[in-house]
Formats: sequence, structure tokens, C-alpha cells
Amino acid sequence: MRVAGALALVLVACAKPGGSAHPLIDAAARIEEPGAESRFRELTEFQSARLALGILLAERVELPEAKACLEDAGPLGRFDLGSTLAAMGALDQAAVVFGNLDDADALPEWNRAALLRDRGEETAPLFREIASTLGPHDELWPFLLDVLAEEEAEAGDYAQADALYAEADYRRGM
Amino acid sequence: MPQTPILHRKRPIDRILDAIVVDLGAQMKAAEPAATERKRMLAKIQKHLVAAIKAAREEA
Repeated sequence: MRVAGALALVLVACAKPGGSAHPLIDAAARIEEPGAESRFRELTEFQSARLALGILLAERVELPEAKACLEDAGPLGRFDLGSTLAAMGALDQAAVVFGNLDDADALPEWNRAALLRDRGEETAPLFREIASTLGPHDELWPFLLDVLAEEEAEAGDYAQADALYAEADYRRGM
Repeated sequence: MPQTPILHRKRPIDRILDAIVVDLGAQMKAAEPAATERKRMLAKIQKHLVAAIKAAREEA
């Protein structure tokens, strides 16, 4: 809400009398209000609006339409297209998309490991390798500890699994 | 649905706002040389938008 609130202030500061500064800014400032999809739907000549619409639809689990929007969003929509394909069960296609990610913020190694795991392949070494690259306070730790705990439980070491789950909860601040 | 979460370090809203900033920048570059007023307006909006997003992220 704070980001949207700040954007609303920007909108007020920049708006011309009688109209908003730019329809994209208007849609962004009201992104958390009802009807956000319809505002972005009217702006599909902008790739960022197609990305926004794709993300909003994916969050509502309207996956086929989200997929179409994200495909149209080009490189901007690559990460969310991969997530949407995975959610639709198209794991091989998702793996290809994640294989092409070059956004440092998007955790491509993690996402490839997640897809391997969902296909029932061995992933413990890959997750452990990812763990070795994380800083002590990385926000990824709780997720990773959950995964490692599941691996331990599947291997029958329930005490170790409990310890890892407890550590994950602790890092989430529970 | 996948058992292991697919993750991104940024929230969806932040990714949307980043993309809009990029879009505005592209529009600015593409604006006709004669459209100085519109170009100036877009530059002003983009500058304020970047500052607002940065401030909101620092607050969060």
C-alpha cells in the first residue's frame, strides 16, 4: 500500500489540470483498487501494461489468459511466464523459459531446481549448492530450509527434518 | 501446481512499477523532437516515479 500511496502522491504532483499525468501512472497508482485489471486491459499497447495484466490474472489463477498476456509482454514477462507455465503443469516449457532468464533478481538456479523437484528428479545437491551462495540473512533461507527439511523427511531422518523446519520458522520470525 | 515455490526476490507490484518506469523511458526516447513539452512532462513523471518507488522500498 505504501508504494501505491507514494505513486498516488506522484500522480497528484504531476497531473495536468483536468486529466491525469499519464494513463500508465494512473493505473499504477490505483493498482491495489478494484478494477485494476480493466484499467491495464485498456492500455495493452504498452508492454508494461500487458505484464501488469498478466501478473494480476496469474494471481487470480486465470492461467491461460495470463499466459497469453505474458507472452505479449516480451522479456518483461519472462519470469512470470515461466511461473505460469509451471503452475499449468507445463514444466518442460517452464524450464526453457527459466533457462533464458537473465534477470539477476529472478533466481533462475532456484527455479530450475524447483522444476526438477516437481518432476521427481534428484535436487538435494543443487539446493545445497544454492545454500552455499547465500548470505547469512538472505530472505531465501526459510524456503530453502523447508526444501531441505522435506528432503530429510523423505530420507527418513525426521529429527533432522524437524530441526530444519524449526530453523525455517525461526528465520520467518515465528 | 508446483510443490516447490517459484521465487522472485521482488514483489509483483514492484516488478510492475519497474516495468512502467522502463516503458515511460522508452516513450520519452521515442517522442518526436518537436514534442518538447510532452517529453519534459514524461521526464518529470519518470523522475518522480523512480524517487517515489525508491522511498517506498526504503520505508518497507
